[in-house]
Amino acid sequence: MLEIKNSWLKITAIISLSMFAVYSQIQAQQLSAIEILNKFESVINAPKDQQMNGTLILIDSKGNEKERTITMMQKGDDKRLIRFLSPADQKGISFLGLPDDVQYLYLPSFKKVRRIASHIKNQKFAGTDFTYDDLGTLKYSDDYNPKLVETSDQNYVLELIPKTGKNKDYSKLKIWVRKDIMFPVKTEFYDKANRLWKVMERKQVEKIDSYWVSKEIEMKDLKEQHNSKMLLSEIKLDSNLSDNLFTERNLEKF
Amino acid sequence: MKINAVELILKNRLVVIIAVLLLTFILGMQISNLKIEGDILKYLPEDDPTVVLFNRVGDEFGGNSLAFIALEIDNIFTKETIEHINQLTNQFKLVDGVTNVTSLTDVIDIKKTDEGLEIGKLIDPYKLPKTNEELQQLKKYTLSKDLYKGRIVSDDATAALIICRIAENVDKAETAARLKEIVNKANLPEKIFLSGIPFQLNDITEIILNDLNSLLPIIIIVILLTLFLSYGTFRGVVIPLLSTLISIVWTLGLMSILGVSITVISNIIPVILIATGTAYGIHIISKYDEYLNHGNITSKKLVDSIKEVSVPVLLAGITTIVGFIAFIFGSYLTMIREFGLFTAIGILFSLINSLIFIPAVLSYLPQRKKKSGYIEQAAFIARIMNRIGSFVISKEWLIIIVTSILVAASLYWIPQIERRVNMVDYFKAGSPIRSAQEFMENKFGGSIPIQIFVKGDLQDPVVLKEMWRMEKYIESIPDANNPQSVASLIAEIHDVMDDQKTIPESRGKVSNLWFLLEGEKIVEQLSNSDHSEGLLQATLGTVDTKKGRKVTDEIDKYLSNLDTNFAIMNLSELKELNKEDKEKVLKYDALKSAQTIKWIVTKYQPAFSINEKQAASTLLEDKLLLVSKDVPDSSTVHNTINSIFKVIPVELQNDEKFRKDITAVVMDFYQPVVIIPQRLLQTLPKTFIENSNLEYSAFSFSHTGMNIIYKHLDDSILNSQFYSMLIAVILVFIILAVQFRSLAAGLTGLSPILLTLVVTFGIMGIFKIPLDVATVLVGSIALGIGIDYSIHFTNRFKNEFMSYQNENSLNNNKTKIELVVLDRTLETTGRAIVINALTVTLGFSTLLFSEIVPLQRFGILIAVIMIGSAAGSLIFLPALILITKAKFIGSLEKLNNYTKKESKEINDCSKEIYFKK
Repeated sequence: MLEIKNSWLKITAIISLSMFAVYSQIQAQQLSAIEILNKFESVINAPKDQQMNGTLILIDSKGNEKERTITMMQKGDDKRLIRFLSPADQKGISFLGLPDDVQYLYLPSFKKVRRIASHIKNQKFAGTDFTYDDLGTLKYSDDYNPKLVETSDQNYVLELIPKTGKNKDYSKLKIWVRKDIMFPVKTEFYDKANRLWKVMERKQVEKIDSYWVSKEIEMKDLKEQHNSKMLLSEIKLDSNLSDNLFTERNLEKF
Repeated sequence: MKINAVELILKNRLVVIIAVLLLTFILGMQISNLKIEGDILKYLPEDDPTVVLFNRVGDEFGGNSLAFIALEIDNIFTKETIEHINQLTNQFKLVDGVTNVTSLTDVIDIKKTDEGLEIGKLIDPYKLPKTNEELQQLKKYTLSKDLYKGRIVSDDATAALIICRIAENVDKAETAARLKEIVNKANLPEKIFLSGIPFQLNDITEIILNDLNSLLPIIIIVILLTLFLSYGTFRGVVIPLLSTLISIVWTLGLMSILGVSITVISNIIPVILIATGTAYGIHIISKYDEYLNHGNITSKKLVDSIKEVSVPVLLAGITTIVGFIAFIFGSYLTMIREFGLFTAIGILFSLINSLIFIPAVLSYLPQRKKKSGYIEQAAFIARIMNRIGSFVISKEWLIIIVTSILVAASLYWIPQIERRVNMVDYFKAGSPIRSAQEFMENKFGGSIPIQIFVKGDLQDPVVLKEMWRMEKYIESIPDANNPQSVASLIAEIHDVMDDQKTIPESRGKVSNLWFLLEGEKIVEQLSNSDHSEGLLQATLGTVDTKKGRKVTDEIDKYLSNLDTNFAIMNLSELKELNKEDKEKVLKYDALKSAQTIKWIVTKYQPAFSINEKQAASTLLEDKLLLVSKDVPDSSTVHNTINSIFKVIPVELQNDEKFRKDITAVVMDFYQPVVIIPQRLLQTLPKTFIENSNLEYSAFSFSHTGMNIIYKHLDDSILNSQFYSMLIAVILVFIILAVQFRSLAAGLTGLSPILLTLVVTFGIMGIFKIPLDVATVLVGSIALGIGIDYSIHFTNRFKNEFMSYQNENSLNNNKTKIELVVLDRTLETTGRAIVINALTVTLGFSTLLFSEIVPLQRFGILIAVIMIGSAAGSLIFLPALILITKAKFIGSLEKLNNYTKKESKEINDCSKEIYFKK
């Protein structure tokens, strides 16, 4: 009985999916803004888990460059472990992000784990121009109302306005989504006076294990004339990361 | 002036007039482009080392200029006021040129919570506190932290501050104007105070403009009236004034073309030119009228009259120019040099116009005989002059003695002269800027930034510890407040992370804590990106130049005694040393900590000073016991604190915050490392140095900030005063000596104005009129203008003496010669001097209507000096000439001294002479 149910489910799923595929093919030109938004979010958030190394390059207004390397693991969209590998004096500093905005920090020189308070989502991550929010999984649809403002041969351009009651530092986002793979390649962030503030670009978009991934993410802060780049390498997707990796105990092991 | 030059001008009179008017038109078009510069930094030369460092620091740390917006209300911790602060903060952030805004609703917070440690914002701007409970909690928390109390919230919670940092490369006055606009538009119920250099600049620009617009009409009216009363002819007044106005247009136009801005000082160029420059034209027209009164003027006569008057006019002009030129060489301040240069040029223009434009215009005018003006013919002036004459002759010695006493008394008062260089001093008492400044001093410890620029590794505990210590030191200086640097932030995070409000002893720990500060806006204002340079900043709580200078000197003294080369070792390594060396090292450490404890006590109780040595020996004793162990247990720290508390005032012992501060010092002292300066290391055995595992650390602290700029300005003003006066005196002396071909003439001629200056400086001492950016100019300017009276008087006196001798070569009644000569001089030149002094005095008195306080003072002083030097030339100078029997006048030694009887005789005689006339 169960099996039947399952196979029925499978069949239903396959049918609906193929129907959806056909439908999308046909309707490709007439996707609504909300559909585009949902689609590219599902593309970005598709892998079940991810593991990668990153190089963060920070460039300040005077052109000074700083480099850091990190290793990152993520499971689902709410478990994340980040460890710093370099520079030497920051080696071993680690973050653990758990569901419900619970975050822990490990400082190796003190050999101590401390919980860090939650309302830091709008703040910059480790001196980069990325906020914790920016680095997190893309869930614009929760907070913003989209509007399709432009369609070119390559891109859809969406304009996102924060939903009422959602506290954002931005008055508006503008997102360029590649039509062929439904991948967001560029985002503009506007400040409360509606002036362009930050620009994020996803470059080197490649297909890894059937997922589309960008290996270079750049964030420019036009106001402070800062520039941050994140270069990703050794990307492993869907490698069945154990939940045990995302614990306080594991945080201290380094 | 050569006669053919005059003829040439008159031949081409139409060309001259058209050319002058055309030039005036062209230059006049430029005036609207004139820029106004109120920035005090621009007064110092751009390549001045203090300015270079100050600008560099500003550039590196997001701007030196802070605009302060304070809100006052009985309690700022209400839903509404917090909302208003948030509203303004958000709007200020969007203003171009504002690099950063700090306020209650946007400020870093480092705290321990039930959830864990938190480095974030004090108030989440999206979740402003609303309930009374939340607000009460916020109030309690905010007032408990040094990060906020006295910095962005006043101790009594009646005022909150919003601080806007403004970029270096933008127009600060303009940015301030935008902020002001936002404040005005918001129309909040709280009382608002705007303070800080950007707002001051904005207001200064405004008052300079106001002054330019309002002073010119006032002085024109005053001068017209004075001159008309004096000379009684309309054209004799209007033409010189017109010629001067043309010269003003040329000067301002030239400044505009050359890109020179108007400053608080050059603001008065028009006033000076009118007050002094009109005299040249008047002399020419007077001479012309004199010729006119002797019959119809032929062109030959016009030429002759101009030729005759051009020499004294040129001489008067040149000495005045010299007074201004002296600033170019004698002053270090750009603003004053520019002022000197362009006023000199302006006077040159006045001279030129008087000599070419006025004659050209005169030649077109119908000839009319001149009536005398009221003052010119006033009998009371004649009477006064007459009295002066007989007084001088009978009381020569009295005059000299009284003058000497006056001068001696003034010399006593001169050292008491105050100096004021702060920009706030430009504004009238009660003006918004002044009240805002006072408010800032009362509630937030002042607004003038003190900065210490640190070069060194900011992840090195040694460097941070020195910064942390210096913060404690600054807190102990009266009038220095709110020190802040990355060191105190690191200590704060260390407290949250590991319950110790100190700089951790290891580099690794410091780096870990640094990580938590990455990307915080406040860090960008306190450290460069690779943490190799940092800023320790504080505020100066006073605008008083003397007090500010004291703070600056204290800090300089601290820095000059500061060790900047250190060696670091583990405490355990001290075991290798003998008892004596070990004690020496630990004693250094203990004394240093004891000193810090002393500063902390002074901060909390300024009147109380602890016995440093006693505290040090307590520390030393306790630590000696510990050398073998690495880390003290908490009871050791506790015991030490208790013994330290024995030398601390009882009132402080229960102060929780105080205890925490002292605990931090003791914990720092007990860290398992020893940091000693190189000089101490070198006294330890070589084998120890070679065998120990030492690390070294070097850094530098340099003093910068607005306080040091002010100090530098203060020094420069003193030097400017001194050197420009010296140069003016020398140049004028040379001119006089050459003209009379006598060194004694140079000295004698200078004496009235020099003595007047001495007395004036004495008056400044007595009446507390400070030396400031404007009154510093008084010396040289007064010299340049006032010397004219001496020259005119001496010249006339000499001429009268010679002609009298010729007239009466056979007359033996020598006793009366000098009286007659003096009388004739006083009646003619004396009267002219009185008129001129009156004109100049009234002209400069119009500066009382200026909105800039230093200019008011300047106006009063010049007025006093003009009266003084006129009196000096008419009373003191003849007395001196007679007593010294000055040879440059003639053979005065033939004259006898008088007996009392003779004096009376002379007096009668002089009356006789007067009535005969």
